[in-house]
Amino acid sequence: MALIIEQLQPKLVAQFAQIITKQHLAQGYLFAGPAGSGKYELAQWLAMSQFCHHLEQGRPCGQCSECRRIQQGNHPDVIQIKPDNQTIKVESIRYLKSELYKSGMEGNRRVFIVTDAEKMSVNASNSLLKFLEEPASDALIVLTTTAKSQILPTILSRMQIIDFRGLSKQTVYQNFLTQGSAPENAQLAALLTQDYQQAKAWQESAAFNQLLTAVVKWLLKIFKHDDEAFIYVQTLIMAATKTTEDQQLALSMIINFYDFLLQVRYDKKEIMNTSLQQLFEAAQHETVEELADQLNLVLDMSRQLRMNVGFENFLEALTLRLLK
Amino acid sequence: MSYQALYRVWRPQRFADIVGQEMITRTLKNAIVTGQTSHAYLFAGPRGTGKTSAAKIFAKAINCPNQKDGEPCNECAICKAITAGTLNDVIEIDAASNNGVEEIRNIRDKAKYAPTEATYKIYIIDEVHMLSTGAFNALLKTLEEPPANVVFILATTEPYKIPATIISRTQRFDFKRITPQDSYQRMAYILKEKGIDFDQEALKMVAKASEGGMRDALSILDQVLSFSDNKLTMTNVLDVTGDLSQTQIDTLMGTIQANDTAQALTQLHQILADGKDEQRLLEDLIDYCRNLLVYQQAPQVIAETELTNVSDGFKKLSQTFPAARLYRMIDILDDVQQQLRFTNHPDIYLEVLMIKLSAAQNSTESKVHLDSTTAAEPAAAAPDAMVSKLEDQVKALSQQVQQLSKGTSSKPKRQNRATTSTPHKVKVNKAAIYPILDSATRQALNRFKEVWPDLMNMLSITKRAVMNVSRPVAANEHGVIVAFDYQLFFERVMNDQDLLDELKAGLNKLLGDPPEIVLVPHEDWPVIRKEYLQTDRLKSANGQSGAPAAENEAEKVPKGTKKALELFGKDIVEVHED
Ligand SMILES: [Zn+2]
Ligand SMILES: [Zn+2]
Repeated sequence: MALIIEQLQPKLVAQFAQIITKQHLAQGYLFAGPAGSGKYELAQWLAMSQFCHHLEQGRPCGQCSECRRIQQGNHPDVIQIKPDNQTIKVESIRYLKSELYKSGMEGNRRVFIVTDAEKMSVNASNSLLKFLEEPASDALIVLTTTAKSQILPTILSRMQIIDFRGLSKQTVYQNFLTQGSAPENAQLAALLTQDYQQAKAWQESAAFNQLLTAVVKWLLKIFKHDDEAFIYVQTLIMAATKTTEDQQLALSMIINFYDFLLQVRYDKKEIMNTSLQQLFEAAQHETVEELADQLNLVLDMSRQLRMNVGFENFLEALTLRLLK
Repeated sequence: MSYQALYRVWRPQRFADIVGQEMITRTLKNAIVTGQTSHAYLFAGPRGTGKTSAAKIFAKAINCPNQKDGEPCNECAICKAITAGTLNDVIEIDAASNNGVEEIRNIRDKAKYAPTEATYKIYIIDEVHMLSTGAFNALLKTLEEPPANVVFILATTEPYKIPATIISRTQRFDFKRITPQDSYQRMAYILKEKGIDFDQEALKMVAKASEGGMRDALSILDQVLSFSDNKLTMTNVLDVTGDLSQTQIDTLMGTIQANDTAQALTQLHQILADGKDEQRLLEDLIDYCRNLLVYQQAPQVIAETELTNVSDGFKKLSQTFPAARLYRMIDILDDVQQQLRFTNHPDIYLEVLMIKLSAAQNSTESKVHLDSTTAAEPAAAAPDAMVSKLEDQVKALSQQVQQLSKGTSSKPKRQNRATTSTPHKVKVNKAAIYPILDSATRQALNRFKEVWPDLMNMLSITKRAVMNVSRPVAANEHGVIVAFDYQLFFERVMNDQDLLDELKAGLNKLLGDPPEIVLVPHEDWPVIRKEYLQTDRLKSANGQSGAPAAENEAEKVPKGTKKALELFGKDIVEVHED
């Protein structure tokens, strides 16, 4: 059974396998990249490579008892720190540091994984610095982050930084097809996720389809410059978004559908999905520049959501601007 | 078992190993040789420039029984213990995690006791700007009554956060950013010692990517080596830094220039699929546009200052890209760069960017084209954003020119294809320059020069790109004159109030008061100085006599230029000679 990470980031896995074979592993790595790009999975894979009973050409087997314990989060020498209430506190790092200087419970090697490292407070970050400067000889530390720019430069300069990239939409689309999705569904889902399980779940979810219909209807009105779009915010979209996740998904639909409509003007790919086809036809009369401006507006205004503007207010303001 | 990072293995053990800080290491060695060390030092400077290394070497050198010419032997028990961090008399404190009053009081109490093994007790307080106010006060008390045989070394990346009362009790050294050339030399040395082959261009790329810190350079180098088979190649380096290859960027810029959006998008997707970093992509594009602009004005400069070669694709583009379009591109790129930091959709931003860079231009041109064929008044009929922006600039300029009516600037004599479309000749503000020159001192100038790299670092990348060709050339207590290598950049900055405000705010932060900033094109500067020196003002200005630095030249130059020498140092001599 191949590990998921080998499909997600084959190039990185190959590179690390080589590093492991050469025994050239550094003591600190920072894995940076978007959610779902396999940062945590690779950290776990690295941990497995340090304990696996059947390491082959630098790759762990994923099956032996050590590999299993790590996958289940039960390995005493693989220590994980996650943010607690949005920040990683200095106490957590102190704990980490005190652990770092102990030797392993079962051997000498120890692996530390700090997820969402950008959430370390400045103090916590600074405490980590000294460790990175004089690391305990047999510890490997991996930080993961989705926001590299928020990590202290002094930490960045002491870690090896590995940038993770999301897969291209075309690749995701192909993956979904190979895994058994119909082209119609795959084309739409690939715009919104890289995870096939998620795509499959959406297909059967009434809530997802309600939201999809709402967003598509709203966009159709926008392209017709019809004021009713404003009413749809309340009656359709808000009615279909109960949680923050739903809201994120709705926003992601708007952004990615716009992007699709723009891309398709240039790559002229065949449209397999009926919703996308509807949108494509409705947006025919918009020029590329107009579509790009609208997309820009969506992207710009969506930043307000980070500043505690409510989703409904945001959508209403957006609708007004788009209708102008 | 674990691999040792290069920056740790190759940590300098002697002053001679420290790269790019010759002035500082020489002074420290002298102090040790002559026994004239200070009881407190402040080592300020950007990360990775050797502050902590210098502190530890100092601790060894001052205590080493075999010290020679100010260098430690690194062989004796004391040296070895300090290297290993086990000597009780050398105490390293990380102010970041020990920033309280208690910790500092504790130091104060213990500092009273004589060293046990070494001759001097050394306290190295790292990231000292992190101390709390109370802790600073406690530290100040200690520095006011320094115990015998104790040396404090305070290291910081942010000296402006340290109270002046503390700074005045220390001897301050400002560590400079490592130049790419220096860091190249050091890395080449390490690679040779390790017996690793390297492609010179690839190593230059590492040096360029490291932004002035030796540790960053070695970390990148380490990572490249770990991915490659004992040979450093360009491909491996680009994989790690996320930079575009010369060919990739030449091609992409060519596609944008040809307004081929479909192709630009395809290339973008290819670049991203190759694992390039979005931010790096933007930075590379901005750099490229900047270099094209500079190249259009002064081709030789790119060859002199940049570590990379000028490719054929680049040369071709420099002939076909209008400067106005490059400026607009830089603006757009800068904008996207700001936004990219806060988005979950960087790829989409970049797609829109490609459309804007390639398609927007397309439509503007076709509009203009249409207008001229239908024989309407072309300029008035196409009031696109660009034109109205230029009109605004012209308006602002003519106002400025009126204000500066007193200054009869020397006529800039360059005529040039690249700037023909930009609003014309911004004048030099002599009314502001002369008062600064009246009371200018070398010391004041050095003060600005020292913080200039820090100031640049505070700017966004595009602003930095523009300001990179600037440098302070004269200053008094309250103002600084900044020269630009190119007329083009001088004009651009003169028109950018935002940037001027930002510079002022930055200097305020770094130096503690907001100075007046006056800009001049570098090519006009000798003339301005000369004119100034010939005015009557010089006689009345109370010139302090004989700057030591000028003594040698004093005989060669006319008497009246004594003041000039003091202000401008050797530069002025060259000017008079030509
Ligand atoms: Zn295994
Ligand atoms: Zn010694």
